[in-house]
Amino acid sequence: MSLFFQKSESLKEQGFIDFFIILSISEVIDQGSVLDLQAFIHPFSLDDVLEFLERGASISNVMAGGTDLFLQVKQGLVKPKYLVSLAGLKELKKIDLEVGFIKIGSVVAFQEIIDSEDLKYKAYILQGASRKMGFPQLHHVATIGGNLGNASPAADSAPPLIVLRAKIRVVSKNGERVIPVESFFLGIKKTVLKANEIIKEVVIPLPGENFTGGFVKLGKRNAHVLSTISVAVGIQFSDGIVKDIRIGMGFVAPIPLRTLKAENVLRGKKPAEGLVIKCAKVAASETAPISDQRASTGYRWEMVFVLTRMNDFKDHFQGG
Amino acid sequence: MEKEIVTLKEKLNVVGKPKRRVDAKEKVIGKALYVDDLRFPGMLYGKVKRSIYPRARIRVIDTSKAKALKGVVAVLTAKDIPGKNMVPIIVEDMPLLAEREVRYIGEALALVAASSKRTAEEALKLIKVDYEPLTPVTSPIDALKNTSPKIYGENNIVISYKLRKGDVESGFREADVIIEREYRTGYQEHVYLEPQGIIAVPGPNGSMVIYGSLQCPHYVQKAVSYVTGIGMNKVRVVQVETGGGFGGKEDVPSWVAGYTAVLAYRTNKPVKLIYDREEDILSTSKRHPAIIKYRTGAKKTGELTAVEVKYILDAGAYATLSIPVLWRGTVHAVGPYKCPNIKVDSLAVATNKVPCGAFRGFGTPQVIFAHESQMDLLAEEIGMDPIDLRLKNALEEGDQTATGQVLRESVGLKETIRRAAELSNWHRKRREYSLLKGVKRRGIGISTVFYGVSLGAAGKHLDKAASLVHVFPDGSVVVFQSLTEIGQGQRTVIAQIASESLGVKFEDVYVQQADTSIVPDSGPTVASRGTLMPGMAVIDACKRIKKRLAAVAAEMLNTTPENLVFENGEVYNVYKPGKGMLFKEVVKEAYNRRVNLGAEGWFEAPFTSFNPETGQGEPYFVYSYATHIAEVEVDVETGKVDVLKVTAVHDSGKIINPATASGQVEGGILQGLGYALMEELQEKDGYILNPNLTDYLIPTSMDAPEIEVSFVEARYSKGPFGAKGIGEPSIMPTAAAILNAVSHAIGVRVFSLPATPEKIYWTIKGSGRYT
Ligand SMILES: Cc1cc2nc3c(=O)[nH]c(=O)nc-3n(C[C@H](O)[C@H](O)[C@H](O)COP(=O)(O)OP(=O)(O)OC[C@H]3O[C@@H](n4cnc5c(N)ncnc54)[C@H](O)[C@@H]3O)c2cc1C
Repeated sequence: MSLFFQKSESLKEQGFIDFFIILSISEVIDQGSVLDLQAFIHPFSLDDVLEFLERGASISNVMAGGTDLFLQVKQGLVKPKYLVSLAGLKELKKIDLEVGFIKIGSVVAFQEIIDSEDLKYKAYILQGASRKMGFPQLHHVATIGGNLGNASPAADSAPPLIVLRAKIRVVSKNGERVIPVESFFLGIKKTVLKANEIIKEVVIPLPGENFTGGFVKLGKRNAHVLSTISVAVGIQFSDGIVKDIRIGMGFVAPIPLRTLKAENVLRGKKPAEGLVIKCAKVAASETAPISDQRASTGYRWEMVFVLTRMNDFKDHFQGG
Repeated sequence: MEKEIVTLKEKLNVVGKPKRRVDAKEKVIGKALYVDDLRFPGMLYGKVKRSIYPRARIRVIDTSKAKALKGVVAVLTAKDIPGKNMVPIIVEDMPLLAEREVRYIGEALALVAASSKRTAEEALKLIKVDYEPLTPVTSPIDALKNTSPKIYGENNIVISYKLRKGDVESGFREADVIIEREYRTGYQEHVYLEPQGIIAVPGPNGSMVIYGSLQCPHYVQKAVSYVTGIGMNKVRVVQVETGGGFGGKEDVPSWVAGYTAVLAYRTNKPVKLIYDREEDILSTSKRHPAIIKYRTGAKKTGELTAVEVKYILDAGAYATLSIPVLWRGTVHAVGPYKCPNIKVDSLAVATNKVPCGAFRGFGTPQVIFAHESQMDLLAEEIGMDPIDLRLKNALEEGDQTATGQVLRESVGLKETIRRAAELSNWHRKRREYSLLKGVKRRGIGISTVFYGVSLGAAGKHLDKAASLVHVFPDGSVVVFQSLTEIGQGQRTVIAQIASESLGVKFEDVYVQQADTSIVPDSGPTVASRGTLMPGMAVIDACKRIKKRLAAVAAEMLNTTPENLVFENGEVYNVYKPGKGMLFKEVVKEAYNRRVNLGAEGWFEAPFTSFNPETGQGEPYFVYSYATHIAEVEVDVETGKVDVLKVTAVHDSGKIINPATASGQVEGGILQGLGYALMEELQEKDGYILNPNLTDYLIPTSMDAPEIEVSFVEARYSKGPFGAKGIGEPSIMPTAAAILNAVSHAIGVRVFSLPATPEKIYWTIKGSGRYT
């Protein structure tokens, strides 16, 4: 890549040039893959990103790892004029343990989530799900913010984050707001984010002592596969009673789904086998999976049932 | 078994050793140049406009807007083709560019050359095609109905074969048990690492050079000459590093090169045409989907009494290679078993879909899935262990195959079965796995196959090979041959054969990649013939040179040529070891004495025959054999299968390089695992729904089982150092072994491939087990 200013005249006119190093992927443009791209913008501070978005949001796309975005650009589904990279934002590449919660910066790559000692104890469900994402190379590039921002119904970080009662902090030049994960998605590739906003971080409240849970992902092969469906379950026990429960699912609806009715079947109860089966049945009734190349609706429904039942309730039964 | 007598000639220094691949380093460090890495001054980029209907009449193709786009140099349709608008494969039925009618989605209609890839892509969008859509025929069963539109010949049948031996009706009367089932298999896409790609460079005096990713340079040479009208003497095809083929670069490069050459001819500029992955999946050949009706009769004691097979292939829109694919499938339909009464009828049926073609195994994995499932069903029915049943019927030296061929030598089949059983602990595991309860069930399954090496009677006229060997005054050697390195280690094995034959160091041999202007047509790089055929031709050339050198060396060492040993770069008198000379000293002397240090080698395949009326004869001159045993774990609640281990025992004759041979087997097993469990190209009404690697899944390293490979080396007297072939046998048994293991694990059988988790789940659920 070479420094490349020629095509960015318009940026200069708009007064951006002082803020940013502007790079071009002239080779790529030549080859015709990136048709409308004028510049690749690589800021080093969050303020610069937000400033840029404030002024040029409608013609820009933010990019973190690019593992989703680049495919969409290549297929012509997204035609950015400016790609604004978040890769230079050190401040968003940290995992912080604070009193009562953990903050994961949006530009944290999944490998860091997998390796994090703090998450090992407090959010192992997220770690488990991260390990099952894609394949090892991807873990070093793909970010949690990108996974959420891409808003795929199959995003593997979403079900565990639902179960962990995580919230998403978004930020724009005008300030911040906080949104529960399950309310963040509006549809396929649609979120509550406004054009000038980005995800800043994911905030996970620390679960209590008797928290248990798990994540199961079903796909046709063992790596490098989009989920046919996925299910995460998290239970807060108190004296053998389900004090609180959360169930999150991937690819059973246009958005990652929290199945509230199924949760209610078990909430406040002792998880007897019959109740777990009922919970699984209700969960299936709350979903609306599609038929596609990966599986039929019927199979997905059956699997919602199987996976909800299979999920870590079992450990609890085994433990007595 | 042939006795091992180590004579002078048989002491091997290079052959049989796991030599490192000669192309490994450059490929690993990224230095190797593939076709997309090459550039020529003034080079243009080509693109192909393709049909969006499975069947339609073409009213008009309007190229005016595309031609007007800045940067576009040429937009061509059928009428601009300088030579014949025909791709010469086996029969001439496929135009290079569709003119009046399109017959499948992705069929080529027009070509663009432009100054950049981007412009060429833009131009494609500006070509307007006015279609009149027609009702497509998309299933072979429909195509065979009287009421079906006729899309190929009079009856939509591309080709049919029959094989008759004994009398099946009386065979079934003799049988104590009869097993009758129908099997279905799906498409398999090659997913070679590197998509199709060609560069055509016009040269002086109306000549043309083609650089490409390809398996069969001489096929491409013929096709380019056909469509451009340039004489074959002025078309030179150079194979560059090729990122995999698996059969997918057997015939397809002929038309990719056809497009590119026509563009280069019309623009008089070098043109590069590289397929996108989607374009590649949509428009290039695949393994044929198949329907196989199979009826097996046997005695209670296990002997087969009759086999009747109806084998239907979905050929797609044009014949391409369906003719030999179906033939091979027919000849192999009964498997490596003795059976006195056989009736096989096979058909390849045209549909309005992408033409199917060559894929590792070439029409056999489909029938193997059927005959090996039948063997297990039979074993179950008569209460016999599947291994014992196979051993009872397996071919041995002196036995007759389904075509009445008496096997005279090199039959290691039974040993592959016995050894695989032993290495995998078959008997213990078969017992233990049967007792497992719970969500995760395990199973172990076997499949055993034979494979006729090289082209056989159907491809007789092509079954020959040439080589050219030069020895230089510094003692180094260059070998030219016309089969291609496509990732399988062919150049390495040829270097080993040359080095052993001449007695020079392995490092001193350099094998050039194929170039049609240097070596005579040696047939295609297919049919597991890449070692045997050129290997023999290289030995032939080396012998000629060695004889001339021996005459010189004998004088220098004061002995007779018969006493000389050429070994590891040295030449010595066998009775005076340690007092010899260096090979290069002999070469230098010979050079000064004006001895010709270059030679051409030649080899013609041994006798083959085939009677089209009865299917009887000697279709192949020798067979390779293989047995795979697979162990699986099935989650009965989700239908997901994990393959834990595959034990693979192969008889491919002498193994020239155990490392590359094992590599072939390991790769074949993974590809077979994909075919068995996950590779599913989904098609509806002629449209392919998943032309991408997100949804067409091949196994990853995380899906790879433990693999144990072992070789039974039943030597073949007419092969180089006793070698046969291994490329295809390595994939052939895998899927059937895995499916047999799955049904051992879950107690029910899946009758179609691939056995996806969903399919297995419904099969289990439908069986009423585990509820
Ligand atoms: C081969 C392959 C396999 C994959 N396997 C899986 C898998 O198993 N499971 C899975 O869930 N996903 C998978 N993915 C999808 C993808 O890798 C993940 O969704 C990844 O987390 C995206 O992160 P990224 O940093 O690459 O995002 P990018 O591609 O950079 O961005 C994705 C989207 O999010 C937006 N975005 C990025 N960061 C932010 C932010 N901070 N604020 C607001 N918007 C933002 C972008 O504008 C874009 O729209 C796979 C992708 C590939 C290519």
